Amino acid sequence: MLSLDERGKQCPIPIVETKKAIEPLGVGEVIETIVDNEISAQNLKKFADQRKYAYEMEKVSNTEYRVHMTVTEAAKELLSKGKTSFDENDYQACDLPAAAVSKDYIVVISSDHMGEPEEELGRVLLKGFIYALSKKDEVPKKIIFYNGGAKLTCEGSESLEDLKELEKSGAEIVTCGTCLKFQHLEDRLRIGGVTNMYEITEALTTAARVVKPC
Amino acid sequence: MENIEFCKGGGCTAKLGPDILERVLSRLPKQKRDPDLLVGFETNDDAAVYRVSEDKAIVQTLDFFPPMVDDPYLFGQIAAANAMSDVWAMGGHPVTALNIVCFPQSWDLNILGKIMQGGAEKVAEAGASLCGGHSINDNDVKYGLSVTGIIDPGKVLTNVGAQAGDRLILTKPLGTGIVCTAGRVKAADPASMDEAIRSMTTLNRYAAEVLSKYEVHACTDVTGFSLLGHLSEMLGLKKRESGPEPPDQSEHVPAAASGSADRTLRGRFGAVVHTSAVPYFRRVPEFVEEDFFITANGQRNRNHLGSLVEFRKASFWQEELLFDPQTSGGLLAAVPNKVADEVLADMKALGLPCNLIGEVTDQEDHIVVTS
Repeated sequence: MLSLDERGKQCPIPIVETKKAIEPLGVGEVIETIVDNEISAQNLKKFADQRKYAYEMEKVSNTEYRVHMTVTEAAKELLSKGKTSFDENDYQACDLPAAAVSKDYIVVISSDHMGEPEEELGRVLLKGFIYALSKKDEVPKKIIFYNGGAKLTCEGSESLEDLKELEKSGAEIVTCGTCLKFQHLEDRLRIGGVTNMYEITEALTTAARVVKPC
Repeated sequence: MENIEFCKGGGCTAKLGPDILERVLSRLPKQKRDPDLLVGFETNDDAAVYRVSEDKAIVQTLDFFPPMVDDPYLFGQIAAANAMSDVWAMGGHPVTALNIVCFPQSWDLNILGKIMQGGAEKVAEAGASLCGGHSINDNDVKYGLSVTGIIDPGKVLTNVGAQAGDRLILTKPLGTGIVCTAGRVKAADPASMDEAIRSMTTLNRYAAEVLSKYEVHACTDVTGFSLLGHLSEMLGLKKRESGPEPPDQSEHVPAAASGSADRTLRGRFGAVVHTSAVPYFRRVPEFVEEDFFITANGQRNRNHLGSLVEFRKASFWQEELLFDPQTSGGLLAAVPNKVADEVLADMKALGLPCNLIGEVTDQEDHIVVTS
């Protein structure tokens, strides 16, 4: 039996992880989730009820609650039907006032790979990130490339096409001049402009939101 | 700047549960009542009101919490908007504010600078003066304000006093707890976060200014105890099956407060809440029904209210929405039916995302949620 030890984790993590683990299971299979408080067990019960999993809970101690969920026919059927439904038309959300916070955001790329420790994987991820970014409705106001990130705007970068698309949609693309020089990339820049630390500082300190994937 | 560690799930989702709190508060020694203390904490009200002269009283309140968003500047704005909200909920306006800061000394001080900048800007927007504070070296970040406001003792709005036939107006959408939880597990899109942040940074000042022009029977701001939790307090509902007898509220009712003298409500009235009228953030339905981004405190609120709430017609996500702990939530006010539409129109004219979400009734002794 699959067992998840979710003690020490705050809601909704125990549910999110249980959900991920139980969805591939077949009818009759059981998953155990151990949580350290009753509230988490109750939240798991709501999940089980909504998704029609059979739910059993055993309180071992005040800090150990063992929840067993069994995949039922009904649960599997519900899952195969796809999304649970709610009627959007039921609800009329009011418009929020404009102002207060601007939707503007800037993206900072400081490396040629996203995350650690696998650099090669990180390069694939970063390429995917920039691609996904170019498909968003709301593109960043500005994308700043510095240090290892400078490679992305230069000859040989696999993201040049996506960056061109982003630029076309209104994103300003800039690369740190010092970084280009240091890496001998000055005459290989293929997209966007060159910037300096003064402008970078200005952008980072005034933006409503800064997105930094690496 | 990396903010990965900054937000661990905060805001009003970090509040102690109402049951725990009640157990402790009920054991505190009873104090001698100062006649000039118009509102103390016996009525679960948002702030204390103390009369200093015939036509002037001060409102005191404080609020602080851990970050619920990744951006320190926005966190500062939200915490400040939330802290000052209680003053407007009582019918007053903030005049001075002091910073409350917990911050790890080893961290980049620029983060603290941004938090306090955000807070200071909101204090300025409120028309109040920021005049000091207190800072503690701590393992986690927490920020908020201690706020003093001024109020006419004859115009204090408390959270009790709703009457049968009153309409309930809510001035901000619900769902900040759910959306911020989605944000915490990095599952909220920027547009969803923006929507919630814009709401949380909006001062309740503007809604309160509209309310001040009308007869209002009760008002509170919706925070950690959820819409249903705060509504149950407004109706004076107490769980019947457990806990010590609630203190007799009649003793503590400020004679000068608005409305009639008879303000002792305990299950005399109920309310009907119409889910179809409750404003909410766009992606709440899927965050709840698809992803189960629900909080522990939402469940605590559900447990706390128990049989005081009856769901006649509501889907799962709507139930969760109504129990969702709000950070810097809107005002919830009970206004006479005859002015309700006018109040709503006035608020809508300001661009506030408000709605009439239900009514107070003497046909029920609990809260009924229907379509």
